[in-house]
Amino acid sequence: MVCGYMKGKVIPMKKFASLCLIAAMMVSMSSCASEGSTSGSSSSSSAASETESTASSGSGDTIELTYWYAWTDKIQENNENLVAQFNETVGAEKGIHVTAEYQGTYDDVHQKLQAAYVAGDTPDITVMEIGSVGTFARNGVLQPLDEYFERDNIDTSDFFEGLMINCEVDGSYYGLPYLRSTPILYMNTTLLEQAGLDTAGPANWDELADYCRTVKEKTGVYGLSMYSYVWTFEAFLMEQGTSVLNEDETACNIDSDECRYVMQFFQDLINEGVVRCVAGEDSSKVDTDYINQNTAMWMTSTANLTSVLSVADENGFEVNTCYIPAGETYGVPTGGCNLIMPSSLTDEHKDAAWEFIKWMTATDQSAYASAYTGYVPNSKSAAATETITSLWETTPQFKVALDQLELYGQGRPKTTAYAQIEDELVAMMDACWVNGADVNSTVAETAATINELLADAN
Amino acid sequence: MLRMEKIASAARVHPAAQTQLQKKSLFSKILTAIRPYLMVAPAMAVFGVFILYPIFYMIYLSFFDWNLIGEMKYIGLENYTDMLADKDFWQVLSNSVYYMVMVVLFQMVLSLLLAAYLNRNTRVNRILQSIAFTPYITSMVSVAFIWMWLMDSDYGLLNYLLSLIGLGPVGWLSDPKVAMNSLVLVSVWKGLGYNTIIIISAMQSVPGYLYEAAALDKTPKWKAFWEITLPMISPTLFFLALMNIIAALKVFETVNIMTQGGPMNSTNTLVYNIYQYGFDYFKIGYASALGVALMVVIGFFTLIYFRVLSKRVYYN
Repeated sequence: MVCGYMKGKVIPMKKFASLCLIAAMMVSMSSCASEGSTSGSSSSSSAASETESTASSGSGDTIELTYWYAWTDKIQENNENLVAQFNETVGAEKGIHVTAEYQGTYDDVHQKLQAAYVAGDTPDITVMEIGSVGTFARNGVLQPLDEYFERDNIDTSDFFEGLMINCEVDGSYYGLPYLRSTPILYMNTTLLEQAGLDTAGPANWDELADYCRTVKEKTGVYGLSMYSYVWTFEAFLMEQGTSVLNEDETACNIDSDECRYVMQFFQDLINEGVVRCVAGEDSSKVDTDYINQNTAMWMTSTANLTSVLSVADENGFEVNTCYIPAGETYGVPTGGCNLIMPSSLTDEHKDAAWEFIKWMTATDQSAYASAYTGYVPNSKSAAATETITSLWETTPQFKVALDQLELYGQGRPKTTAYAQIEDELVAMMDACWVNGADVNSTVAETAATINELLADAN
Repeated sequence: MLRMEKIASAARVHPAAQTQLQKKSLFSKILTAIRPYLMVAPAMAVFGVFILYPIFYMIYLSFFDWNLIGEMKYIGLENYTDMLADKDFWQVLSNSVYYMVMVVLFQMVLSLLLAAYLNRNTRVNRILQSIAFTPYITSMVSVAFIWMWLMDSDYGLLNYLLSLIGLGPVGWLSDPKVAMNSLVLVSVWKGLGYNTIIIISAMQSVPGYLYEAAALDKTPKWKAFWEITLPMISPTLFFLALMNIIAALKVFETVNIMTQGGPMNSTNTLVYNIYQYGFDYFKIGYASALGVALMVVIGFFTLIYFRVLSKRVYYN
């Protein structure tokens, strides 16, 4: 499973082979690259000194940049294609050459960036999962981009508002939205038709429950397959009119009627046998469930849309998408990554890195990335391009995520403690939804732990 | 040195030449004195840089609140008091100890039985020994992935086999009561061959006359095994058990790949917990405190083990 935001590190089997191949390619590619750039240089300990010495050794005034990205498959192809386009066009014109390097999952990128920063050897540009921007920005790792925004008159109002929330930390901008997503509800309409249900999908939680029961009764498969997933849990709370953390992130809203309702609602459906929930680390089971048509509905990132459509095509079923059904209201967190640059770069590299970030998040590139993967276009102008409008005509499933985002998209928590809080939330969902623990006591316990973590972090 | 002087005096050489020789002998005296240190210097340098220095730096870091990129804040013993007050820490510690006890117990008993069975030097046994040894030379990552598929609760081979004899699906890795035992199973399966081979070689070095003497006294076989074989191979068993204890307390790969500490923290072990705090939560100080705890725990079990068992080991 490739997606906009995923905590686990499970590698699906069918992609494992291609991953190995890519790893092998990366090794051979990077060894070639280092041969080239270290020739004639006495020190290659930092990216900066490498490129300076390359430049002085007579290969022109080209600035060499390194760009880190996450995920394989369509997302990887998209990254490599865009970087190649940049190098041929704007890069060639301005004397900038970017080398794209695959780093694994978002977690891998963050871990490596942290180590690289301490070692003084960071990439020039990297993707960063939006939930981590706050942590890195507050520790001074990220370069504030306000002066660049001003210099090039970046129109922040063109970007969708929900996407800019996690670009901004304590009043400064630290990145621009790149591959961004929201969770959506995917439906196997072939199964829904068999069960005699409307393929437009459930509009609210009551209908969702009805859908699940009817699917189970008529077809025998699960109505909904899910796993202990913080991102969709955030959406559930938003739909009940609350959020995981309070506004200034000093306490959590877990020990609340809304949260208990969410936990109880799904626990009941799971106990009835019409919804299946697997543990957080078993997320790939949701994929096998939908591929084997063992479930009629599942929730995952819009980023998976292209992959899901091709899987459905291969296995002979139809797929439709809709908003995550409404509780009291609609609401989803946004996800995915921003493009950022580390604060430790030289001014020359910062300027070059900014050119790359600006180009990658500009209208045409955003439209290209959106059509290639299923991520949402990041700006109003990108959504208005020919590429996107014609795509929506042929495959209307692509439009759902953007509509949902425009209307109901919210940010994600920014606190530095959130990585650990996420693990606590997964443990809570595992307890209630996979192992049948009592909702009231589990929720109270988790809330106490999270509040302690928040107190420590502030 | 003495020999040199003897030779010198025996030759009755010219006094000038004698001082020359004495100079030489002084040089070689120094050389002899420092040679062993020169010889071990590279090994000690590596040991110092990659083992000693990190240990002391870890202890130093455990007194700080640090996220690797921000400022280091000295907080005294707070990491330790937090750790001891955290019920997750005690769960992780008891998980680690449970895992260690189970792995060492099954590892030792099963490999001893297997070794006793495979001890006779026939061609079939040599082939069986190689087969039993194969898992040991396989990468732990591959082993973990293969077992993860075998133990899949929906499509795994193990549950398929169980279903053939009418038993319900077992959540090998998803049931908190079972998951840790599944990891124990994988570890025992992987290490069995290695332990067996070592025990077999120890058994084969037991002098044959002891068994001949026992046979003359018409000693039953199990008694010969109990009274002769076991005491004679006890140094090997002692060594193996100690290595297994240390390795089991340091388990990481299977946890990281197969369960990620879940479900509900039931397979979270000390080393995986250190990794989580260090690289997922970016709490380097707290992770270092956990590292110190791990060091203490391993030291504790090693000490107990030496105290209690070393007296019962028979060294030639």
